[in-house]
Amino acid sequence: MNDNQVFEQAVAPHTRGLYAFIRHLNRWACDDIYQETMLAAWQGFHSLREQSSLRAWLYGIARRKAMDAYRKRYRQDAWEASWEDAMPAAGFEGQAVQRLDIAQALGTLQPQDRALLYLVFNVGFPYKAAGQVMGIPEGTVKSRVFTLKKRLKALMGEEGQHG
Amino acid sequence: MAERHGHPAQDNADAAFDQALMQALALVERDPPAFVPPRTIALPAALVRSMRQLTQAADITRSTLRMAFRLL
Repeated sequence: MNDNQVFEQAVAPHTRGLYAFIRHLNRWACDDIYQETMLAAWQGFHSLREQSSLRAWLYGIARRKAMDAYRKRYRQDAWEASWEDAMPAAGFEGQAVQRLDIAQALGTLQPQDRALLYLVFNVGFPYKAAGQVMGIPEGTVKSRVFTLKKRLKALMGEEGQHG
Repeated sequence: MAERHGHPAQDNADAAFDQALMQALALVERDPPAFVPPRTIALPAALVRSMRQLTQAADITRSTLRMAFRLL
């Protein structure tokens, strides 16, 4: 088995989830970001000491490549700032006059928030690992997931039923 | 699934919501485009040797010219 085949075999279980994660982060340039992520992974694959950390490593590269694409497009560092700025203001629940289904409600979130939820719920990253991928502390992931779920429930008109 | 730390009853209610959330988040899943690793071209040993000799010749020429200009 040559080097390329070893690489392909190692990353194969992660590519579909990785691509979905990138699509959550950036729909318009997802193919380019995916290719850049895979190229960077291919170049750095043999210097990766622990194969057990491959998944988190791949998602971390994807997040940085998506961030680069975002910065290239907007020429500003709004990404990190948006973690705080995009926090819903108190009382936002009352503004949701129309009830949305869950997909529509997800559409109202910031891309990095949808990506974070995807990491935690679909890929199965623990909060700590998800925080490492997204470049934020574990505590922020916890509170963020809680707030986002609350917001989604409110948008769907489920706040009274669940909590 | 997200880590849970709440009351069991609340966790059960949350589980249905989490399941729906997972399904909605999975709607963007697609087969990724194919990634083809760039080919590394193996250069013949003779060509590599010639290139090295050319580089060395260029270095010698550069230092000779530098010395010559200093003497002028």
